[in-house]
Amino acid sequence: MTNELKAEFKKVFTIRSTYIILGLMLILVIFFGFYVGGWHSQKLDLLDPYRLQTIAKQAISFLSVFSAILAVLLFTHEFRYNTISYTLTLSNSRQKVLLAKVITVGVIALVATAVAGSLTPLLANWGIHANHLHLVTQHFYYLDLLWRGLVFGLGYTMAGLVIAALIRNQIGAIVALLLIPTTVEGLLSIWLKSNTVYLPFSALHTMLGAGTDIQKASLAPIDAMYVFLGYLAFSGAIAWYLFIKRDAN
Amino acid sequence: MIKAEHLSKKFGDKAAVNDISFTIHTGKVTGFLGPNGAGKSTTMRLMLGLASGEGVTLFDSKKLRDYAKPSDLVGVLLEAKAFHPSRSARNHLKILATQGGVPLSRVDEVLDIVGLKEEAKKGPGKFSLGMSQRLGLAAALLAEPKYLLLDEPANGLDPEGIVWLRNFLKSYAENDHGVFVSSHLLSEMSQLADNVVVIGRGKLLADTSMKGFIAGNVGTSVFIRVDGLEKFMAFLDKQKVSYIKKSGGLELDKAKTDFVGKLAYQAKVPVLELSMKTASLEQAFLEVTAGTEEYQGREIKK
Repeated sequence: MTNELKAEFKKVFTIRSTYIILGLMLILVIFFGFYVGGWHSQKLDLLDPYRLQTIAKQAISFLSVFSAILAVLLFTHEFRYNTISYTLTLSNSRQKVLLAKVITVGVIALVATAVAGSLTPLLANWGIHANHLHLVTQHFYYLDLLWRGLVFGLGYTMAGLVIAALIRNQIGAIVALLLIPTTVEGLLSIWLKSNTVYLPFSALHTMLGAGTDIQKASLAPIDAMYVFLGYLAFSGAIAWYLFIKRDAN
Repeated sequence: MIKAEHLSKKFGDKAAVNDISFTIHTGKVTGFLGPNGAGKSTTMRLMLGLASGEGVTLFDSKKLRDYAKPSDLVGVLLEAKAFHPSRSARNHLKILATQGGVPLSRVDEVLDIVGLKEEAKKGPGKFSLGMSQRLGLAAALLAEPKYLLLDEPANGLDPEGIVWLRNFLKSYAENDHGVFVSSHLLSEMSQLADNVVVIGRGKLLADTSMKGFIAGNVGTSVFIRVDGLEKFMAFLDKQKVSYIKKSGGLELDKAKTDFVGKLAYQAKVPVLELSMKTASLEQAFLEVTAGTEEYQGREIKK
């Protein structure tokens, strides 16, 4: 298992796209934190005692898409370039290989979420002061932000991995990852109305409560988390089964 | 020894591999032959557990997944271009070495063996097919496994590369390793393989030694050209020896040169040419696989 895990980390950090995505994430964290959340703050925002916490949640919400894309790339590169034939013959268990991928993208997601969630409020605060603005005293529910942020980041990334494992085609998986939370769930919301919160990504956003309309829905964050985890467990079990059983090509 | 037993695989209603069993011995190179679409690659994937199907393949009496380190047992090259194009050749091999539990120092060794040491830092995306094959071979050799399973490893190699590959695989097999190699280059295979496994339309057509395969499927014949062909033909008719008139001479099926030479002496005709027509692997292959081709081209009408 250790060898599989080491190999997966090497796969992530020996391709250009990883560094491009991580670089882009860092640029966006700085831009979103310092400029959008800080320097460019509106007067009304400056009176919000939860302003920095909201910025942290919004950053996590936005940047988790990137760690999910990293997960998709890590998985689908194997099939696109057929390195999966090596990966599976060098290991004596497909389960170990998949578990190594899950752990790898999980660690990346947690680190990315922690960086985005902690750096953006600091940068925002710096941006506000740099522009000689005054922010009211801030309240932080650290534990609340911690569990919601980490579950969101991890959940979104795992959703990306599950989509990749189900579709296996790189373009298809990225398109699905970008369209399901936005277009597909958006269109379904016309029909489902307040029940939209029971859709997977809507539930995840509800759980995070990053200031979208969905948070007004009548679903507690913990319940929203269970809804999302239900979808993730179900689709994850199918993806796991297919990875074990399907031909590797 | 690798024992593939009753391998079968269907794609929809079509049997790509149909109850195939064969053995690969250590110390020998076993060639794997078959027309396009015969099921060679699918068979290899079944053996490695990369494709789901029926049957079992035992590597020294155990399934591959029952070994803690499968890399010690088998090295594979199934597709030349199986690498991320922008990841350097060295990093590609380092990943495989890490996963296979092979010391990273081995990476530069195998790059040196296949002649890619100078290209180690380059992304293999722009490698030629021959260079890609070499990288694939380097990957297969990483753990110096007991068995090599190579699918068309000679494709794209230059003549020097083909000779190098032949000598390398032969010497690898001689060191108590087993080599299983598929190829369409029949002349190359006839020089390389000790045994052959032949399949057509997913069915096993032969599993035997190379010599036995050729001798068993194509008869030898003798060609003779003499001064006084009519006289010699009349003599042969009298002796009830059958022949075919061909290229200004005669071809005697399943005969030997000394026998035909004696006949010419007895007929008192001067011999201008006397040669043994040895059967080739190509003839034997075409004989055995006739009618099993999945895809057949046609001649262009003039």
